Amino acid sequence: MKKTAKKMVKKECCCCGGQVRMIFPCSGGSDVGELTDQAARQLTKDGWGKMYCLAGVAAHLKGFLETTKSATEIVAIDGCPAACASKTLQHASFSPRTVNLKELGFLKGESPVHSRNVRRLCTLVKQLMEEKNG
Amino acid sequence: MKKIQILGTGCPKCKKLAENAEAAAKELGLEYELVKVTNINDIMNFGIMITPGLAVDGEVKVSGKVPSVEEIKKMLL
Repeated sequence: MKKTAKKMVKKECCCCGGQVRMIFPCSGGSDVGELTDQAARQLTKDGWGKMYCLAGVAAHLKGFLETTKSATEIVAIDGCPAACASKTLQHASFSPRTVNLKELGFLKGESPVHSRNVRRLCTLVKQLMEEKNG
Repeated sequence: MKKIQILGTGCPKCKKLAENAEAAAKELGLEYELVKVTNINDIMNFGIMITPGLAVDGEVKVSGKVPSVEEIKKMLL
């Protein structure tokens, strides 16, 4: 069990150099917050980017800040208009590309966290970023 | 004495970073100890996700790239 956990950590959390798009979900306490978290994890599994720790950036921990600096693109996914993820990154002098779930039609208290919504959100995030990049 | 830590599992980039860090410390005439941190869990304890990383006296200076000797010199001062 312990060995498996270590292997997973290695596979998901560390890589050498390369081009990395970092994803920072707000991971807030509401349904939309949870959706951002689940979608960031799914986007990481899909290989679209890598979810990273917003709390580490908020705490201004050097390791997290330096790793974030090495990102080729920073994407903040916020569950609601409070935009905590975007603002946290901006406080740490980063300029994230932003996605807000309200603008995508996911409303707080009305967006159940299930796989269909997570998948839909992932698709919308990818589309929105492509449009913004285009 | 400066403690220079190279954070990486041992890929060519990590080795290049170690070379550059050593060259920078020597050019500055510093007393230093170079430590290669290769255990993935120990690396993650520094909070970095992208290797290689460089820490000086326990503080992460860079992650995910190999700085030049001149750039590392500034980090060591």
